[in-house]
Amino acid sequence: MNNKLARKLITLALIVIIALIFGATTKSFYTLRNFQMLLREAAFIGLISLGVSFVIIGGCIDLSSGGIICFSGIVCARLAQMGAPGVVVLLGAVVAGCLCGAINGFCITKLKINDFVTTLASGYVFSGITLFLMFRDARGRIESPLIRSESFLVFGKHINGFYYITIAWIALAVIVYLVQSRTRFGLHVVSMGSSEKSSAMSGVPIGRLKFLTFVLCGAFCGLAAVFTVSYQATTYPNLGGGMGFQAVAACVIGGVVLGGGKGDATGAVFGSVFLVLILNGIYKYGLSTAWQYFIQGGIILIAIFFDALFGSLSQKRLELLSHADEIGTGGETLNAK
Amino acid sequence: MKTKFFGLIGSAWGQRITFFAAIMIVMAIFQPVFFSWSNLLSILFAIAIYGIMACGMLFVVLVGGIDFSIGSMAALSACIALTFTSHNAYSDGSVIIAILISLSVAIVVGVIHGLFDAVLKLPAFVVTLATQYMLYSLADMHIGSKYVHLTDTNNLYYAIGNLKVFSIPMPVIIFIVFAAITAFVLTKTTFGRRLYAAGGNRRAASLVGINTKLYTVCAYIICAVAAAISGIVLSSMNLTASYVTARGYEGTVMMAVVVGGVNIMGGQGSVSGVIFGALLVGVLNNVIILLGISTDYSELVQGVVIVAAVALNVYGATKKRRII
Repeated sequence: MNNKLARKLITLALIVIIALIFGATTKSFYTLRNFQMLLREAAFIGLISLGVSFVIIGGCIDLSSGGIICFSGIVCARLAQMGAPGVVVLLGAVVAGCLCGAINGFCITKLKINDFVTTLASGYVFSGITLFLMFRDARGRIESPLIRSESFLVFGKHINGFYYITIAWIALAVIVYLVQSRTRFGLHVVSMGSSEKSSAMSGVPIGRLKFLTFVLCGAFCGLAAVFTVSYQATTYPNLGGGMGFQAVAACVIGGVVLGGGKGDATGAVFGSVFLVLILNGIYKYGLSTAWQYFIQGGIILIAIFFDALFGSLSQKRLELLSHADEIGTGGETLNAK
Repeated sequence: MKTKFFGLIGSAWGQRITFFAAIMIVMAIFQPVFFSWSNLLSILFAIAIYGIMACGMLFVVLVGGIDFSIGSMAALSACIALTFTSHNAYSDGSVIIAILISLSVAIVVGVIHGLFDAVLKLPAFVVTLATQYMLYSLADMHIGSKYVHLTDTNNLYYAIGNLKVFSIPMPVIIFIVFAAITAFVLTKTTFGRRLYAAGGNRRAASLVGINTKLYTVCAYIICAVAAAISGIVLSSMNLTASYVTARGYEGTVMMAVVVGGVNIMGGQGSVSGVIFGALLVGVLNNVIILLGISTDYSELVQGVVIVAAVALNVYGATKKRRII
């Protein structure tokens, strides 16, 4: 069995095992309603981590996705309150996300600032700008009015229990998978992540590619913001708080290795399902928030521990295989003689 | 003349002095209160807390790691130290033992972080993020209520944050001592030089015979202990501790470290730079409040200043390279 497939099956097996444990020990886990909600929440983190996966595979990191969601969220709410039709709101938020991503990309590719520093700082900047745009009452306090624009609220609805955000997530995951494995752009991103220097020498346009990955990440964050604001019918300053870290954690759990060149969209999908599953299950136990955080942290640790263990095991297996090859060819040549 | 001017802007200390001169002029015009003793003192308190953490963080960043759990480490150590200082079933209220217990917890946490990074080779960023959650919840479980208060203002614990020696507050003295020790260790000892080597190129360092794993673990221990010390000082200053003590400080400390010119990939950085970073962050927070800018926008201003500072740094570096 090939290594990449085995890696995916392990994450999948972990998800199934945890789901079985939660199902056996809690009452309301195996309900259709719970699965629908679970998939909706996974789609929110999942859309972001699809975008982040581009950046990580390309060898960079993006911590600003929380800030971008926050900013796109208020753009959504403002446009919807002005009475813009739903499609325009959607495009507006995605463009806002792209703009944020472009700012990140500009700082990293043109100003040559470290990606970690840029996105850590720009996350603060984006959520700061959001506060300027927030709805305020007469005394200047932030308020979150309900959005009533019918054509916009459609995005938060569902067909037979399948929320639009879930459908969009799965469809986009398939597209992203194909882009990453079948198109020139996707393969260039992978090669850039594996070795920036040698890809630059073989003529891959590094600067433009890097810029594009950040813009794409911004676009996905904008999309996630549209669906979530529409579902909640309002926005607030803390929308997307902590999402930057969670999206990266989801990618890493799914086998998208920090440092670039490894992993694909399925990893991002499995990772986000895993994260949301844990949160959902812990919530069902009715534990105190302290225990919830403790278990969440512990399980993330265990997940990346398994990942590393598997990585080192498959490395050893590869070495063994290459040795076996050498011995094998040695034997054949002997026989031939 | 022009090249000389840009050369000065390009040099790290030129930038730092220019920046502070600019702030001084702006504050002298708009808010002379900035220069009052009580205000300068409050800035010093903030710098002392951020500075101790940043010096600890410097060690970890130098070996090429990162520690996002320092805010929660400070909260946990403050909660532990404060509960053991009060007389109860577990403790006779000895302050020194309470602090020792809290520091040894920090050492254990540091060892765990170090082993995860050095031996298991897990990404430090995700590991410390996960332990951040766990440490906050441990602090929450440990105190079991919302807050612990320092009731006895007559003991050593109170003195840590509130005593003044020759009218210099104790936290500032602790910070200066800590920074001096850090500077000494990093520049004058073999340990420090090897730490730089291990961070600059782990493989090369281990080929030369440096035990990089040991140095990585040591760096994480120092970082956790520094966080614990600043947590104890903070709780003594505030006379209270809870699991939200020092929440979110890791972001501010990261800014201080990065603005101080420390290379986030490891191997480059100095204590003087980190102290400058802590100064900048402390002064900036204060200026934002004094100028009457809503605290809503303080994050925005901080973010913009960081990007600007780092961009200037990079600009200076490329200028130098072109001249050579």
